[in-house]
Amino acid sequence: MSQFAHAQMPDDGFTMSKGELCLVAAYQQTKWTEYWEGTRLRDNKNLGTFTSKAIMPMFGYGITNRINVFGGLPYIYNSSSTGTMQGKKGWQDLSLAVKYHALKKTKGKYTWNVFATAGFSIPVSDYPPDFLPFSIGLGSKTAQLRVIGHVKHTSNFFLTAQTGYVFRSNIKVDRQTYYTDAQYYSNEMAIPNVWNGSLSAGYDNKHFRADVHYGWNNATSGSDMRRNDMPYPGNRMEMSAIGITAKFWMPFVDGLAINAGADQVVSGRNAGKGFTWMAGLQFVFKPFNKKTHEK
Amino acid sequence: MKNKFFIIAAIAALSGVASCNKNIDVRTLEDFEPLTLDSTGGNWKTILLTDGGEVSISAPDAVTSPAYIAELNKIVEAQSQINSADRTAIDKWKNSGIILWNEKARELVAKYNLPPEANPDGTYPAPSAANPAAYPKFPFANPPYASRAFAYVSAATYDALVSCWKYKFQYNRKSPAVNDSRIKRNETIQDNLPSYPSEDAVIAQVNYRLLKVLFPLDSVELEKMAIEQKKAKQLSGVASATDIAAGEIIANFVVEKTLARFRTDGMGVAGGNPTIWAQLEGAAAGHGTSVPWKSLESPVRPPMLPLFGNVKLWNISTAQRDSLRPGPAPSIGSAEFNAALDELRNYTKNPSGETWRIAMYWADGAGTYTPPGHWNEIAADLMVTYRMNELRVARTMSLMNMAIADAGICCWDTKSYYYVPRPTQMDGSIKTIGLPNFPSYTSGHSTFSGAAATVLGYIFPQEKPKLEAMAAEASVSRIYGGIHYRFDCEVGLKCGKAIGSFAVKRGQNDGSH
Repeated sequence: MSQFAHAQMPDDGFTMSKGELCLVAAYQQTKWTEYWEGTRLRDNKNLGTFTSKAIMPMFGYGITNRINVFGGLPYIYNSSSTGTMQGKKGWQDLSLAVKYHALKKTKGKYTWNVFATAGFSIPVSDYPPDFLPFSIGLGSKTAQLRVIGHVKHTSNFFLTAQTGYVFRSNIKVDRQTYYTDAQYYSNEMAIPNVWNGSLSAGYDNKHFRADVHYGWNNATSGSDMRRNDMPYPGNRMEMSAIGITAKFWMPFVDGLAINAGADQVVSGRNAGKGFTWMAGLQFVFKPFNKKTHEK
Repeated sequence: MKNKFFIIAAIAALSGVASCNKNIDVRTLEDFEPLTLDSTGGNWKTILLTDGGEVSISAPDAVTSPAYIAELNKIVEAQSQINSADRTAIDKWKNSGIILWNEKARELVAKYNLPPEANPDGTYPAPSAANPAAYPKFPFANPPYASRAFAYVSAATYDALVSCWKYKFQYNRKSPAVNDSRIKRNETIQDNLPSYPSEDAVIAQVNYRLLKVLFPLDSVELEKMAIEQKKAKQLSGVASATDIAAGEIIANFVVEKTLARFRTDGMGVAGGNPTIWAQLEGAAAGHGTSVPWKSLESPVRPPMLPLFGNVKLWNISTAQRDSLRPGPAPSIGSAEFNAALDELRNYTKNPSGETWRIAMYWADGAGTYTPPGHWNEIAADLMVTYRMNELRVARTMSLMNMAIADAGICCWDTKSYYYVPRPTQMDGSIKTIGLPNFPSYTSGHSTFSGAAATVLGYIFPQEKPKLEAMAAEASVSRIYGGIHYRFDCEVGLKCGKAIGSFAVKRGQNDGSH
């Protein structure tokens, strides 16, 4: 599962004004044939190519000019091209986040912005988390805090740096006993917390926005997959990726935009070396008053 | 105002999960003291020994002798220097030592239960006992390996404890803390259970020596465990140095006898070779299987231990094995066969919550303690609940694990004889929870579970209905997982029960009633 190509509304350096509602429908697909078993990159002819497809409905809303809320709920379908293992599909985790525009300062040709985001997520179905890599999620409840720094030049070029910490709850699995680095007589598994972030550089005007970025997503604990073992949700999963995203505002329909992006995982641990692309439609409007939206 | 809103939202979001830590709740066994003494246990029928007296143990020094008093003095001195690590060790070993060693064996099975990865040329490397650290590490502790390991350790522990019990009540020398009021009781001591020879030394030494043969890469840690157990029992006032030494003599004798059987039981050639694999495939048609089993792994992997069915049995003869071998599976293409395939298409296309839960609960696949390990855990829970002494724990474990090993041998014999293809080989659309790499008919889970539940149901009659339900659920879990036809499971469960009844018969006649 790519962590990067999601339309990054809670993570980006942009904001919606009061009363604006943003609806997004996106499709995302990740494929990998190689994965890191611990730190060893390998392939597996009994998986062939692993594919994860996701449909992602999302929304964002400007409660005030400085406070935005976001939500999303992906539907995921995971499968492999070879082997005998069952694919898995279903609605995954509902996520909600609040983004606060803490600081805005213009000095000379630069406008400086600082945002803080707090969010949580919760599984909406009882999908099995302990059937990786086919499980559609880890089954964990999460909460996160994030800070975002964004600077934009009058030439419309911008830089964004963001980082966050994700707390993840332990989960219950169907197995009663499992071995990782030791034997655990438990149906509870510890899911590592995650430290993630990204750096992006891009261009933004009223017609389009595009950026290139580098992102990382690192577990802060967990064990490595043993050689030729199955993965499990408590593994120390890490990856870093480079990618691009772009958004084009449609010229004839006010508030309608096309989103697209792609990411390539470049390093990892207990994770697939995935290539992800996504595409989506976004519609921004003010449902509750008649003022025109501000892009 | 805006700040407050954000802070409240942040706190609300975090309070749900930030309180969580990474500790997990693990099941632990309750402390208990045994209910019975079994003072005539030294007369119980043994498995590998002719009887408990086959190894001779000389009479201990009298409790009034200077030599014994010197031993007691040493314990008094050692107790005066006890530290917190010692207390932890005493606490750790105060219940059933056999169950602790069994937990260790289960952990080692899980640790080594990983199928070797293919070589770049598409062949598969095999682990080597002569070079255990080279990849793939020795052993590959798959279910047959595990069943055999548990059986040898349990049978040897039982025999050695029968002998231990014989000399305990023959010589009747009590624990140091009973003989000398200066010695503290750092754990509950059974005053009526003689301590010469030490049952804990027997258990430590048998388990250490056999497990280090089975899992050589962990021999250092195993030795530490054995030393810790023996030391804890001296510090707790249960056993003296000569109690321990006498226990070790019995253990070493039994281990030598056990290893002689172990090294010649046929396991060394159970993996077969390309000629044998081709022969098994070719013989299938003559045994009623028109489409022989093929590995669905890539690269094609040789079948797991196809000649495990020829390994020496515990409670039944080879002729009995052959007569226990079920008739052929429904022929491929028959209405019954197709109905079995249809059922699997349903379960694997629509895995519902409960069938999925059952499939996962009993999966016990690669990287786990296997179905034999699962049944050892079930047995351990019952033995604690019913507060068995070490001799009865050893008897229960040996009867169950011999039955489980015999079940594995008989089941593998059937698998290799008929060489029935897995459901997925007949219909590639049947996807599974992870497909084992050996023939389908009959189900190993079902045979292991039928045998284990039959033995445990005999020993714990109050639990019989529950145990039988567990075995039935373990059996049907393989249908839910898309791995086995219903007939694999039903026939396997029935065979397992029949195999278990041979162990029950041994139990009924071993003098323990």
